Amino acid sequence: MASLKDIRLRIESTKNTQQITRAMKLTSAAKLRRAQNNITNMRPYALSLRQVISDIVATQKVSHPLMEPRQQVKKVLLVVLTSDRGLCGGFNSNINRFADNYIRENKNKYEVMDLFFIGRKGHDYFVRKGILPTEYISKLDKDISFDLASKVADKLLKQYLAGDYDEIRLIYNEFKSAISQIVTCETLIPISTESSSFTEQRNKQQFSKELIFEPSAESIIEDLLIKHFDLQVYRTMSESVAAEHGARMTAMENATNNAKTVIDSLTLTYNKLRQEKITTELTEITSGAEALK
Amino acid sequence: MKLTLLTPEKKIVMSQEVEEVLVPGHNGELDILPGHAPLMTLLSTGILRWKLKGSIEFHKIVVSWGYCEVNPEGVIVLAETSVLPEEVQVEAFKSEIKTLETKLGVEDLNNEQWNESQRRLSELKSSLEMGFQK
Repeated sequence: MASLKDIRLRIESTKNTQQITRAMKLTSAAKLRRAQNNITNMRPYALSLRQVISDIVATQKVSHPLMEPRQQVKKVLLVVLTSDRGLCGGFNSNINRFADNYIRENKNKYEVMDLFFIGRKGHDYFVRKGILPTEYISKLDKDISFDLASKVADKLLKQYLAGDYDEIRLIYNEFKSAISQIVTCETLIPISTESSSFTEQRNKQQFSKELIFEPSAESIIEDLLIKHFDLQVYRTMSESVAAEHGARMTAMENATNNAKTVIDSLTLTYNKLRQEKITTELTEITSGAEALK
Repeated sequence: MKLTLLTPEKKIVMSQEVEEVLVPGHNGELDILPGHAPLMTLLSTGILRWKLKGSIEFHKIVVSWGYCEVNPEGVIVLAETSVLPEEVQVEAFKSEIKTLETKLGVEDLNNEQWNESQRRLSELKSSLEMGFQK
C-alpha cells in the first residue's frame, strides 16, 4: 500500500501537469483566435476574386488547361496536411487514418499515387509504415503566410502543368468550430468552375460584355486562376492551423479536467489514510495507558 | 463610386466612397473617375492613390501584383502584397535595395528569382518614393 508520502508526491506531480495543460489551453485559445482572424480577413478577398473569375467565365468564352479535367486520370498526387506538434487530441490521427484508408482503397485505380506531406506528424506516421513521400514540408506551426502558401501552390501547379499528375487532391482538417474538425478530401486541380462556389452569381446585367481588358482576357484569366489556386491552398492551410489549435484547446481542457478528477480522488485517499493512521495511533496510546493501570 | 482594396492577409479599404483613384495599371497609370468604362486590368508595382469623398488629400499605398476591376458600382482592387506608408522603414529598405541591386548584377539567377527580385526592388523603390511624397 502506498505511503502517505507517495500519495503526496503524486498529488504534487499531477498538479504540475494540470498547470501545464491549463497554460497550453490558454495559449491555444489565443492562437486559435489569431488563426480565425486570418480566415475572416481572407474571406472578402477570396469572395471578390471568385466573383471576378465567374464574371469573366460567364461573359467571355475563355478556357484554360487548369479548368479542363483530363480525360484519363492516371497519376494522382495526394497532399496530406497535418500539424508539426502533437498533444492535440485526434487531430493528426484522424487525418492519418483517413489518408491511410484512402490510399489503400484507391491505390489500384491509378497508375501512380504520390504523396506530399505538409506537417511533421503525417510524414512521421507514413515513414514509419514504410510509405515514402515525394515531397515534405514542415514548420507550419508558426503563422503561415500567403508567401509560403503560394510557394507550395506554385510547386503543385508546375507539376500539374508539366503532366506529372492528372489530378491533385488534398486531405486536411476543415475548421468547423473550436470543438469540431472535419476531415475533408478536396480536388485542388483541375479547378472546377461549376462547383458550388461559382454558382452564386449576381445578376449579369451589371457586368457588361464590352469590358476592356488590359492585357487580353486570356492572360488575365490565367493569372486569376493561379491566384485563386494560391488562395485555395492558403485557405486550407489556415483552416488546418485553426483546426489544430481548436483541437489542442479541447484536448488540453479535457486533460485539465482529468487531472482535477485524479487530484480529487488522490486527496480523498490521502485524507482517509491520514485519519486511519491517527486512529491507530490513538488506539495504541489508549490501550497502552489501559495496560499500565 | 466605391473603392474596395483587399489583400489576402488584410482588408485595407472596404467599400468607401471615393472621388478619384489612381491605379498603377499594366500599361501605365490609370486615373479612374466616377463613370469610367468597365475595365479589368493587371496591376504593376507602384503607388496606388485614392481620394475619399469630400477630402482633398490622397491616401497612398504601394501595391504589387494584383488586379483592378472597374464596374459601374466602383473599383475593386485585389493586390497580393501591400506596403502602407507607416510600414516604410527608410534605412532597412535602402539597404535591402542595395543588396538586391548587387545580387541582380552579380549572381546568375533563373527567371523566377529574377522576376521576384525585380518586383521586390520596384516595390521597395516605390515605398521610398511614397515616403518622400508626404
